[in-house]
Parts: sequence; C-alpha cells; structure tokens
Amino acid sequence: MPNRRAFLRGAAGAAVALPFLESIPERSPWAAGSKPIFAFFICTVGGVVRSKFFPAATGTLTQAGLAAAGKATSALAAHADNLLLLSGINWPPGSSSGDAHVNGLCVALTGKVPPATQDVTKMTAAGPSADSFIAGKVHPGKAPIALYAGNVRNGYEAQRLSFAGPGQLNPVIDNPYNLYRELMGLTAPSGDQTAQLLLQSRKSVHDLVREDLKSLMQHPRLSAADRQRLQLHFDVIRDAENTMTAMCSTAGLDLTTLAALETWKYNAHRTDEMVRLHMSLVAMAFACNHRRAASLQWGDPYDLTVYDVPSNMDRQWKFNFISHRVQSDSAIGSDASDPLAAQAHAEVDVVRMQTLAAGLDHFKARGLAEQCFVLWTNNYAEGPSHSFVNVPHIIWGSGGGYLKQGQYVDAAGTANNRLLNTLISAAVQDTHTTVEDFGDGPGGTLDVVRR
Amino acid sequence: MSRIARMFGLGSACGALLLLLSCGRALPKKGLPPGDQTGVAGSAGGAGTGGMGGNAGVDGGAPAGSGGTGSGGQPPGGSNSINLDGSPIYTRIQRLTNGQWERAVTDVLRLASPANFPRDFSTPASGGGTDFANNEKLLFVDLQAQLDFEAGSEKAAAVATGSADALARLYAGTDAPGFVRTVGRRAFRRPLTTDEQAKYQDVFALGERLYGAGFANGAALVIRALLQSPKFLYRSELGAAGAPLDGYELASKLSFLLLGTTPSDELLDAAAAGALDAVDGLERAARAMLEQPAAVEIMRDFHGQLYRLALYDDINRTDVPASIESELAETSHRFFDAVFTSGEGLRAILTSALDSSRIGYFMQVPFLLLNGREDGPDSIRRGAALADEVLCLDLVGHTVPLPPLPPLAAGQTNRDRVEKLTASCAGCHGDLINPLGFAFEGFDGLGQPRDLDNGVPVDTTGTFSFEGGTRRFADARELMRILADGTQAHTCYAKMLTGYALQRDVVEKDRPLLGDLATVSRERSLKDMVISLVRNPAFRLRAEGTP
Repeated sequence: MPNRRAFLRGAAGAAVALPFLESIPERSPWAAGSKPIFAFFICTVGGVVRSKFFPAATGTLTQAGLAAAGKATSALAAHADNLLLLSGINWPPGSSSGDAHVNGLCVALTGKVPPATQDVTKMTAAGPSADSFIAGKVHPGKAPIALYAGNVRNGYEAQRLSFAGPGQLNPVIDNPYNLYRELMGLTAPSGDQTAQLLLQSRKSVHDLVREDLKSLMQHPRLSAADRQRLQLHFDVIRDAENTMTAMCSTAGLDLTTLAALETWKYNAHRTDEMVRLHMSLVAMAFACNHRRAASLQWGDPYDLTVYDVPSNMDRQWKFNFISHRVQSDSAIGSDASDPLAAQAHAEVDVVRMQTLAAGLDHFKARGLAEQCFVLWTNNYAEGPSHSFVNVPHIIWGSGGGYLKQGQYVDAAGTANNRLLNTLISAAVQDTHTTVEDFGDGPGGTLDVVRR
Repeated sequence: MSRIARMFGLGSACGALLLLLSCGRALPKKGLPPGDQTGVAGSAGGAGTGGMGGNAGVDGGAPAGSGGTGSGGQPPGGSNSINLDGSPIYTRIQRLTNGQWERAVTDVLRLASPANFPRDFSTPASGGGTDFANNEKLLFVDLQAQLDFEAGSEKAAAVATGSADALARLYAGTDAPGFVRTVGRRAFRRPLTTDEQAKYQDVFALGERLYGAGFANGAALVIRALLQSPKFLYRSELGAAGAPLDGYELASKLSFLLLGTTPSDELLDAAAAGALDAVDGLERAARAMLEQPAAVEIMRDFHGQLYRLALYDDINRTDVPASIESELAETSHRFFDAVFTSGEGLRAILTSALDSSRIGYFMQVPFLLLNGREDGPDSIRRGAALADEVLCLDLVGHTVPLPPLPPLAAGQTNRDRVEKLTASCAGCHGDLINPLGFAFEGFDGLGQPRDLDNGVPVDTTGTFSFEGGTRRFADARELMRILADGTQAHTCYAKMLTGYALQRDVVEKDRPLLGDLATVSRERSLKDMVISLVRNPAFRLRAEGTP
C-alpha cells in the first residue's frame, strides 16, 4: 500500500523525502532529472512474407550484416545500430476469433483480447492502447497524436489502432497537412512571415524575462535553493531557444508536398508517401516536446493501397488481395495458388521497410535515438494464414537507455502485453513508475528486450 | 439527518446510487460484550447529529469499559505518531500552480470564461515526497513548464485582444501607459515601479512595430511579457525573516490561498491603504473570501487531494461499472463541499449521519467501494487509508508487494485470512493498519452492509494505540466517534490544512500551530480553522528560511 508521498510521486514503496536541491531537475535541453521519453507506435496491415523478412538467425546486428542478409529488413541496414528486431511475440490467447484484420489491430497496442461481437465491422478494443496509456501517465490532458495512412473514410472498416479506453477510438489525423498545421506554432518555417514574427517576439519576451530573473536572483534575502530555482528557470529559456532552433525546426520536412496537401484527397498509390510525411512530422513533434506519444495505423484493415511493385504493376491489385493471394476480401488463397501475389507481397515488404527507414531517418537526424522508441508491427504475422503467432516487431531507439539496441532477439512465444509493459515502462520512466499489468496475459516486463 | 447527510445521500443523481448500494440493515456489533460496546464511545457526541461541540475527550482517555490494552509502543516498520518529518525550504518565491495560473490569467485579463489553457499543461513532477501537489518543492519552471507558460500566455493574449469587447473588458482606455499601469498592477499584484512602467511601455511599442500599428498589437505583446515574467509566475515574500509580510504580499498570499487567484483590484486597494496590516483587517478580508464560490473550489481541491478522490477515476474492477466512477467522485466532492459551506469540519467528515447504519464519509459507499475488492472488503487498503489520511501515520511501504490474498477457505473469514497473510508484518499491519481496516468488516467490497462473512458472523472489533493512548472499539461507527472526540485526527487534519495552505512540509516546529488548529477543528469549523491559520504568525510573518 503506497503511502501518501509515494502515491503523489506515483511510485509504490517507501517514501523518501528528497533534499530539495536533489529534487530540482538538472538543467539540460530536456531537464535531465525528468528527461521525457517519446513513444511512437506504428502498425501496418496484412502480414509479411516471414521467410523473406527477418535475418536467418538472431544475434547482433551490424549495418553490413543486415544489408547482406537479403531480407526485407535489409532496407533498414543504415539503422542497424539503433534497431531491435523481435520475433516470437504472439497476440494474447483468445485473440483469434472474429475478423482477424480488425482483431489484430485492436490487440496490437492494447494487449487485450477484444470482446466478441456479432457484427465484425463493429469489433473494437477492450482497453486503452499503449499510446493513450502513456500520454495519460506523462501528460494528463494531452491525447496522443493518432495518425492514419490510408482511406479512413472507406465506408467499411478503418481506424482500429489507437484507443482512449475500451471501445473509445482516438480521433485520427489522416492528412499530414493537418498535423503540420497543428505543429506550425512550434517552429518557424522559413519564409513564413507570421512564424518569423512569432520567433522574433518570443526572443524579445525571453530577453525581458531573463532580465527580470537576473534582477530577482540578486535579491540578498533569497536562499541558495531559491537562487537555484530561478537559475533553472533562466537556463531553460535559453535551452528552449536552442531546442527550438536546433532539434525543433522544419529542417528536413518536405514543405512543398505538405503545402500541396492542403487540398488533399485519398490516393491509393500514396499511402507510403503519407507514412513518410507523418513520420517526419512526429519526429518534429517529439523534438519540440509537443507530445510524448503517437501512433500510426499504416493501411486500412482491408488495405486499399495499390503498391506499384514489379509483380503488381500489371494487376494493380490492392494490397489486401495481394495479402490474401486472391482477388477477394473474404476468400484466401495460398502461395502455391498465386505465386505472383506471394512475390508481390515480398516486394511490398521491402517497399514498406524502405518507407520505414526513410521515416526513421527523420528521428535520427533530430537526435532522438536515445530519447525515444519507434515500434513497428503488423496486425498479424503472415498474409494467407492471418496468424496471430510470431507477429514481427521492430523497435528503433533505446527509449532512454531502457531497450537493447543492435540486436535481433526472439521472445519465444510471449504474449504482446509483456512487450507493451516494457515499452510503456520505458516511456514513463521519468515518472519513476514501472508498469507490469497492462493488457491481458502474464504480467511483468520482457527481459529479452531490456538493456 | 443533517444537512450534510442530506447532501451526501440525496443532493445529486449519485444519491440513488448511494442508497441503492447502501440500503440494508444496521450494522451489528460483534465480538465485544455489551459493556464494551457502550463504554468505548462514552465520550462521543450524540449519535446522528453530526453537530459540533461534543465532548472533547482525548485519545486514550480510557473511558470506563473501554478495555485499553496500554500497548502503544513503537512497532517496527511504522509509528502511531503523526508524521512530521518533512523538510520545508520556506521558499521566498512560490511558483503559481497550473490552477492558480489559469484563474489568475482569467482575472488579470478579464476573460469572459476561464482560460482553460492549463488543460494542456504538464502537471508538476511530484518527485519530492510531499503531501500535496502544490508543495513548494514541486513547483519550478523546467523546460516543459516554460513551453507551457509561453504557449499559454500567447493564447491568452490572443483571446484578450482578439475582439473589441474583450479589449474593452480588459482596459477601458486606449492609451499605452494606462494599459500598462492597470494590467501590470493586476499581473504583478502591486503597482509597477517607474522602471517597469517604462520597460513595458517599450514592449507595447515593440508590439506595434512588429505586428503593425494598433492598440491590440501593443497590448498583446505586453500581456505575453507580463504573464511570462517571474513577477507574475512567482508569488514572493521578500521581507526580513520574522518580519510581517507587506500588504501586497499578504493580499496575494490570502487571495491565492482562499480563492486560488490573483488579488482583486479592491483587495490591492485595501493593501495599499494598509487595511491588511492589522490581524483583524486580515481576518475581515479572509472571512469575506470564505463566502465566495471560489473558496469552495479551493477546499474541494484540498479535500480531493487529502482523501485522494482522483482514485475514483480508475477503480478498474469488473463488478464496478466505469460509468459510475465519476458519480462516486462527484458525490464525495459534494459531501466535502457541504462540510465546508455549512460551517462544519472534521467532526462532520467523521460522524455526520446519513442513516442509522452509517456515519461520516468513511462509512459511505464511495470510500468502502474504492477500498474494496471483487470478493470482499479490502481491509488493508481501508486501514491504510485511515492511517494515512486521518491519522497521518508514516507507514513504511513494502519493498516487495504482499502476495495476493488467497481465496477464502471453508469457514474462514476475510479477517482471518488478512491476519494470516500479514502475521509477519505486525509492526504496520497488525498494530496500525489491520485494526482500523477490520472495523469496516461489516461492509462488503461494494460497501453494502453484511452480517456474515463466508457464513461466519463478521468481527468488527479492535483496539488501536493512538498518540495519546489505546482505545478499544466495537465497530467503525465507534471508531469514527473516537477519532472525532480525540486529538490525533484533528491534529492530522490541521497538519494537512497547514501543509496545503502554506504550500510546504509541516514539521515538528509547527506543533504549537497544529495544537491551536486542532483545538479549533475539534470545537468549531473548517472555516474557523482557516481564519485561525490566517491570523497565526506562520501565515503573516516571513518564516525563517534556509540560509
């Protein structure tokens, strides 16, 4: 039973009255004593071609080794040092009933088996998703950034990834332009006069505040603790300016494309382009410390995306048909029944990993590798089987030193709630909390991914 | 039925819920001979009155028939003494809380509706081990707070200058000097110095240069600068140690304490005229504030934090629909609102009667359900909550979690299994937590009355060693009366009020103040406690700080 102090601190166990000077965070761009960790969850759809996806064996990852592996994830070779490839994660037992497409999405970030439903189109999640849970822990009042790359208004099944609670979908942003507009106030796109004025006026206000702080710090009756408190305030203004001008800038954003999306309509050929734009904006949002958690549903449950890969150039099948190996949303074929579709799926896997790599470049460029993690997974393991066993997971970034890096590991058939416990614990570590009971299944964190 | 009881049971949509779950027979007293049952509560006020001014017997007064055991030692792992081991820093610069920021901005800028910007603010990291989230050790401006305050001031400035009506509410004139003087005084809670006046007039001019000529453009930048200044963000006490605070400092301290916002123009005028310098003048101002609706909100926050009402938001039990969580919280809040507004205090919190089977807050459905389990009462949580929130005991937390309660064996009661589970942790559980928790064995996990547990009559009896000595009780009702008539609960309540009001840890040095406030608590009302605190040197004088 945590006592009052532990309760307020958000941690169980004995209360320790920290000396005040120790309780003040260190001054740094991220106030190191309570360094925020950022969490981004991505879930795509339709499974992968497992035999052509991960390297043949677990072990240490190197750029050269991963590039030479000849697998879809070889497209991520440039990020090998920051990668944790993870096999052996299953959706919780009992997840396989109903519509696997939606079911897999509902469970991917909740770790909970969705309640049974007669109408599969109404299937929903049994609990909050990890992005919402983290946002609630670290930033009450701020919802996660919930993104969608696909046709969210497809009239059938669409968003099923980010949930505020049981059955409560978070509102999603499907057009990257809308997210860009939300972030506009955080930085100054070159050539944007309004934003430049904002920066200029902020600088003037900062100068004034610094002057006031300096004057107050010289007051002879202030204690050392009071001076330190004011010094912290003084320093973070400078840090905020530095952060804004360095990490939190529009550098690297494709502003031309973003601007053109102001009048945007869904295009089945542009899903991965939207993914890249979304990822570039989430990287900026994290660098600006705008939100601590985000999620991206990459594709519709019955994905309408048309990938222009060699084996699909003539057919122009939507991806769900490729995944099913048959031109049907309900029937399912096999690799043998349509080898061309199987080949197309493997080619799509490569394209998607290239897209992921391009998105991760933005996180790397903003120096977020130690300060965040990006999780990529799928709504189920493979195409035709729609299996919920051994669903591939890829983690980029150490989550504040919490997660292994440069490794390919096998979780040996663990339910995903333990992975989510681990990731959530990484994301909220500045609250001195460890989460061990998220979702269904055995509690605790997953040692195989922890540093 | 007292006014508070009516409020608790019937004053809201939650009433039906409470009555639905709490209806049943009166709680039987088990396990003590008749003499004990009547003797223990001999010093209590009249049953069901919920009134003040009852017998002021002290803990351990050992009334006839109470059967005191006289143990009262220091058990390993916990203490029966009020915890006063904090480490205040007596800051001279107290950062506004997010709530204070929101209300102050709304009032300084005369916004038509509450600013609501802090809904997006990050909450202070509560890493300092404090009783309340407004503690001086938790409130500083780190990077996130800086970004929040900056964005908030920009939004506020845009709203305040965004229309002719908004501007007219903010300042009736059209001259920059008058605007700076008027709004600056509200923001800094004192008149601006000559230098400050000149500086902010320059800011006004800069705003017009950057954004184009126009009063709103100059005013907007001034607002952004004022609201980010440390002179707005921190409430200061800069006088000599031990000297009285000046009138403006007192006005700010009083207004933020009781209304959660910046002082009104009238209060600043009173401060300028020296009307707050005398204790009686300060009391008059405080009494007027206590009757304002904003004071109810402040006390709602106090009780909400003290009794952890936020926990109702996340009960997370399969037998408790999530849809009633907010009703449980709101019902509880309304109860404490009523305690405050109707001029009552801790005695009513402990003993106000709802029906024949329940008195006070802790015997009501919300508390019992929150501290309940799907398979029965959670005696450990109930006891620990009382030990912590009512008696201010410092319970040493577990370094490893207790194993889960096993299922009940045939003929075994919940009390039996909890005693068995905690047998090796007698210091905290056996002596401090369990006796308090077992008093509520007459209520199941949903807070419904029960006579039997697993087919066996429930045992609600117990003994507890308070600071003043050991008392025996037959059930929760008697325990509540012992608490209300004793000293320790009132001293604890005084400690909590002091900590919340002065925004610092309360320590042994504060004992005399706590003693005074505890006496007021036992005999009078929460409002009187506040007045007594405001009149006390601990509030009015500059406290000795860390060199």
